[in-house]
Amino acid sequence: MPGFDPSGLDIFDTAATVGVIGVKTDGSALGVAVDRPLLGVPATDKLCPPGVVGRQCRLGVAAGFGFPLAEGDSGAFVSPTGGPELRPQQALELLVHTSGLPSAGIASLPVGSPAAVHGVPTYRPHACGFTFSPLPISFISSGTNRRMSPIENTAEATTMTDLRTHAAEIAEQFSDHVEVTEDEVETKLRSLVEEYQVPIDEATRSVRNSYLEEAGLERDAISQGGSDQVLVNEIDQEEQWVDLRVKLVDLWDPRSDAIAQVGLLGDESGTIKFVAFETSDLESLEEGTSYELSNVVTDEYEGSYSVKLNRTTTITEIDDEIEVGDNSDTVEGALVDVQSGSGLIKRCPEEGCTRVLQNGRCAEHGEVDGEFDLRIKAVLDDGHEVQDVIFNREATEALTGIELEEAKQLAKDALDTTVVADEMRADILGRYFTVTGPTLGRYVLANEFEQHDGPADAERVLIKARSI
Amino acid sequence: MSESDSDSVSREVAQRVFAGEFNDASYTFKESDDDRAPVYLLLPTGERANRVFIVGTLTETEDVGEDNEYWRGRIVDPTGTFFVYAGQYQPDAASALREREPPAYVAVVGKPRTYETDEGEVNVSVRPESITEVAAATRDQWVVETADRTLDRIDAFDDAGNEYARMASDEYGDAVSRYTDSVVAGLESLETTDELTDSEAATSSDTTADAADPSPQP
Repeated sequence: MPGFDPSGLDIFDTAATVGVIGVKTDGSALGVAVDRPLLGVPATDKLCPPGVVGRQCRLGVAAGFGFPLAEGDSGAFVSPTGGPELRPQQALELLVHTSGLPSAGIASLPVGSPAAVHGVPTYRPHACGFTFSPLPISFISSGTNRRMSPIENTAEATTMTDLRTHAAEIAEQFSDHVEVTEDEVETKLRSLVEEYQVPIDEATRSVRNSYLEEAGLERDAISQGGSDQVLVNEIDQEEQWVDLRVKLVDLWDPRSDAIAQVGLLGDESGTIKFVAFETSDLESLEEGTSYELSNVVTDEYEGSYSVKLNRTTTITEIDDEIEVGDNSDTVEGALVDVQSGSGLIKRCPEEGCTRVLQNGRCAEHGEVDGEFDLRIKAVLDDGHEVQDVIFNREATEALTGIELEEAKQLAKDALDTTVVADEMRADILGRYFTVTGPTLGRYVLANEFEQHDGPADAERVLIKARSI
Repeated sequence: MSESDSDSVSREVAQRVFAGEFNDASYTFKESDDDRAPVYLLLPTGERANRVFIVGTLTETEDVGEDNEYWRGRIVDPTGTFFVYAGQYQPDAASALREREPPAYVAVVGKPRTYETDEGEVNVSVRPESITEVAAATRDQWVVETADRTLDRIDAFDDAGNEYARMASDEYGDAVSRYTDSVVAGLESLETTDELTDSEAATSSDTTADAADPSPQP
C-alpha cells in the first residue's frame, strides 16, 4: 500500500476520506480523517469534523461510524481550531473504537516528511498525515494503568497518560543519583514506545536500566517501582514513597482550589491525613471505600504525618473491609491544669460543624443557637513532659460524675456556665491519671482513663535511693 | 510565657521537689532578655523550675493582707514546709485557702517566687495556680514520685553537659547527698505514717517558720 501523501489531502472535500477514531496528543483531542473508501455510510457523515471528534474524544467516545484500521492505513490528523500544532515526529496516539472491539495503535507521522506536511497549504500546521501501525491488543491490557479501557474511557486510557506516569516514577527514582528530568525520561520512553513499538513495560525497564548504568548503580539500590507497603502509623519520615492499603474514613472540605480531595485514610494501625491535588488528575476517592494506593509520598507538618497522592499514584478499589485502628497512645501524670473551653460548652448545630461557640458565635457560621455538650481539656504532667488530653462528654461524665443534665441545672442555678468547670476542677485537679486513646494533633483523646488511688510503691524508690 | 499561659506547646513542666530542697533554693534566672521570658528558680540538685507540683498537708491558713485579702497557707511534706501565698490575682487559690479547713491534704500547681528580706536573705514561696483537696493516696504517690525525680536529678548531677547542675554547684555547692538522705527519710515516713499524722513534721518546722516565712507583699 502506498504511503499517504498529506500534501494531496483535502479533508473537507473528498468522498474518499472517512473518519473513525479518537486521537489524543498532550491531552488535546484531534479530529482524524482516514483515507479509505467509505462503505455504507451516508454522504453527510463522510468526515469526522475535527470539532466533533475532538469533543467526543474528550468524553471518551470515539466517533461511531468507523471500521477497523488495518496496517498501512493512512489518513490525516486534523487539529480543531485553536488546537495544538502538529509536527512531524510528534507522538500521537490513536485509539480506535470499532463495533465493540478496540483496535489500538501508534500513528507515526511520516518520517522525514516535514516539507510535505508543511506543504499542505490550507491547513498547515493543523493537519498532517499518518500511517497506521497496529499494536497487539496486549499492549493495552498489560499497561499498568488499571483503569484503562479504550472503549469505555478513551480520555483516560491513552498511553500518553501512562508514559507520563512512568516517566515521573523513573525520574523520581533516580533524582537522588543522576541529573534527570521527567521530560527527558518521557522523551526516551516515547521514542521506544511510539517509534520502535516497544511495549510500555519493556520500555520502562529499558529506560530504567540505562539510568542504572549511567549512575553506576545496582538494581537494588533504587526502589523498584516505588515503594513498600506500610501501615499508616509506621510512617515516621517525610518524603518517603509508600504503598497503603486503606479505607477512606473521612473527607474534608478542601481549603484551596488546588486541592482535589483532602481527608483521613485509615488502616488497622490508625489514621492519617491525605491530600490529592487537582493537577494530579486522579479519580475521586469515596468515603467508606477501601483502596490500595501505590506510590504516595509522606509529608510532615509540626510532627504530624500525612500522605500526598500524586500523578504516579495508582488507585485500586478493593472489596476487603478494612478495620480502622485508632493510633492509641497511653500517657500518665498529674492532672495539673483544666483549660478554658472545658466544662459545659455549646457547639454549633450546623450540619457537620461541631465548633465550640465563643460567646454564642461559631467561627464559621456566626451567631447560632448552640447545643450543650460536656468536655474537659486538661494537661497531664509527669515531671518530665506535659501532654494535652481531651475528655469527651462520655468520659467527662465518667470522670467527674457530673452528667449533662446535672451540669445544665448547675449552670441554670448559678446563672453561669463556668460553675460547671469549677466544680469539675475541684474533682480532678492534682490527681494522678493514666489516659489511653487516639492522638489527634497534640491531644490524646481519653477513651479510657484510670485514676491512681492505690498504695504507692515506695519500696522500689527506696532501693534506688540506697543504690546511689 | 505569661503567668496564665495555657499554651501547652511551650507549657513548662511542673517540677517535683520536696520542701527541704525547695526552701534551700534562692537563685532565679531568665534565659532570654524578653520581659515576658519565664523566670526559673534554680534547684540545688541541678534543675530549673518555672512551675512546681506539690502535694502535702495544709496545716494552717491565714489572711495576712492589709487592705486586700492575702492568704498564706502552710503545706507540709515529709521534709519541710512550703509557703503558698494567694491574693486578688489568684482568686481561685485564695478562696481555696479561705474555705479549706486545715488539716487537709492538698495538691498545688504553682510558680516559685523569691523574696529578699530586709536582712538580705532570700526566701522562696509558691504562688498557686490551683489548690485542690486530694486523698491520702495521692499524697503518698506524690512523695514516691518526688523522691524518684529527686534521685534522678542527683544521679545526673555529675553528668558532663548538665548545665543546671554546674550552675547549682556554683550557686549552692555540690553537697547533694543530703537530699538523698531526705528522700530516704521521706519514703520511710510513708511506711510508718498513717493519715494526717504529719502534724509532727509541721510542728518540727514551726521552730524555723518565722525565719523562713518569706511574707512577700501582694
